[in-house]
Amino acid sequence: MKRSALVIVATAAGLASVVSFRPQAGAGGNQAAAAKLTTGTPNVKGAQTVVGSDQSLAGNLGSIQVKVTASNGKLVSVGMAKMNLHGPQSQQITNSVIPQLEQQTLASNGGPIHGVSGATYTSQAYSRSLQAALDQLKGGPNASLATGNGNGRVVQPQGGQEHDD
Amino acid sequence: MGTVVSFNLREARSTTTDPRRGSSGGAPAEAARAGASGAEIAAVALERAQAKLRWADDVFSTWKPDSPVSRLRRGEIELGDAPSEVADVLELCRRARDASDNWFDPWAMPGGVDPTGLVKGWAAERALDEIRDAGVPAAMINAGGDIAVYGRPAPGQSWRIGIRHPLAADRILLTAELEGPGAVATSGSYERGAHMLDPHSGEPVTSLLSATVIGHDLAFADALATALYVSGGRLLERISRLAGYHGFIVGGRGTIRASRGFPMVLEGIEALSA
Repeated sequence: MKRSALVIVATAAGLASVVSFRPQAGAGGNQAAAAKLTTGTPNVKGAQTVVGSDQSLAGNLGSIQVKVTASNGKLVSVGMAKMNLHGPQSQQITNSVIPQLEQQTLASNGGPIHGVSGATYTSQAYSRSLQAALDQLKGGPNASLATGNGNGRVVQPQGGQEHDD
Repeated sequence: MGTVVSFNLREARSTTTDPRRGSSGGAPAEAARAGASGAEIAAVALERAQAKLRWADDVFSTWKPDSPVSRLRRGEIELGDAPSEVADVLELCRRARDASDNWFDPWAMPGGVDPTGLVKGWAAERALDEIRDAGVPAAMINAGGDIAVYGRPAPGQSWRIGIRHPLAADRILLTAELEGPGAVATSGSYERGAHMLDPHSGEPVTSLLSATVIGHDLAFADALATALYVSGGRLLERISRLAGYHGFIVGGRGTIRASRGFPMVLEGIEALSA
């Protein structure tokens, strides 16, 4: 079992548009987190859609594929590339309160969403989380609020893996 | 098992100087003295935050047999032998236990006192302190679904935090607006199965789909969200009476209840008293 693996993803607005961390903690011990700077090219103009991989939901509820779209740095849709839910409970919820609220969320046009709160997810489940999709939107909704010049930085500890969930 | 921590660091918008000249504008004192760029400030801030999270993990992890908390649980050391922060966290646990009418009770866990239900939020707050101290004017941290913020994402704007649909990872149920400093914590069984125990019965709890608490402090909100969840929503009214705290639950049949004053963006959900 990997214990206490700590994965840090960061989006910094302004001059540092995107900063991603992926330290290798845990089994490897506590080697110093010497960070290496590399330049990225975040896209702050035009539409950008991030689609996650097909993931099974806990409790055998079905499978979903996450999709988040931003245009000119503004969140324009939160949806699914694919959804296959089964079970009476999920159907009931899907058919009742949820669509109404979801429509209002997108129709409210109230600006970007900065983060998503939910039950604690593991590093494995992070890849299918909406927060992960937001983190991937370089120059997306978060960066759109800043006055930065769009220069991106990807910060990785030496020996770490590139964050590309 | 690991926790993914996301950060969103904001840079102050310059109002008096041309940003093309690279002025740090409203950047805070420490960074301005060093003449550091926004990227450099962010890199230092994240490095310190990361170090703080690792430190907290080393001290508080119940998965690491040699951590001070693990040794304390086994009775190998006294509280006074552990880093002083352990006593601070246990004191917070006591206060959260009282505030939650014993629905959050680290002393009722099997294997000895287990502050895990509060530590993640506490550690995230400390990491956010590091970012603030490094000179970042506004930031958000998301520690595996539990969020703390300070400052504003942009002048005149609030942080907008989506609360996840308990049955679909890509769906936001509603959005809460938050002014820094503030925190949002959500508990539920949809990610890791029925892992929360009713401190009164010792049985796993599954009656709600999720429970969310908003408040000033993430450590406290984290503990109260767990308590609200295991109480089956019974704590909603009590939490709403705590100054600055609000609760929100999704019941097993998809019913939604929010305490009065819950700072949600959307209209259309009737706020019910418990």
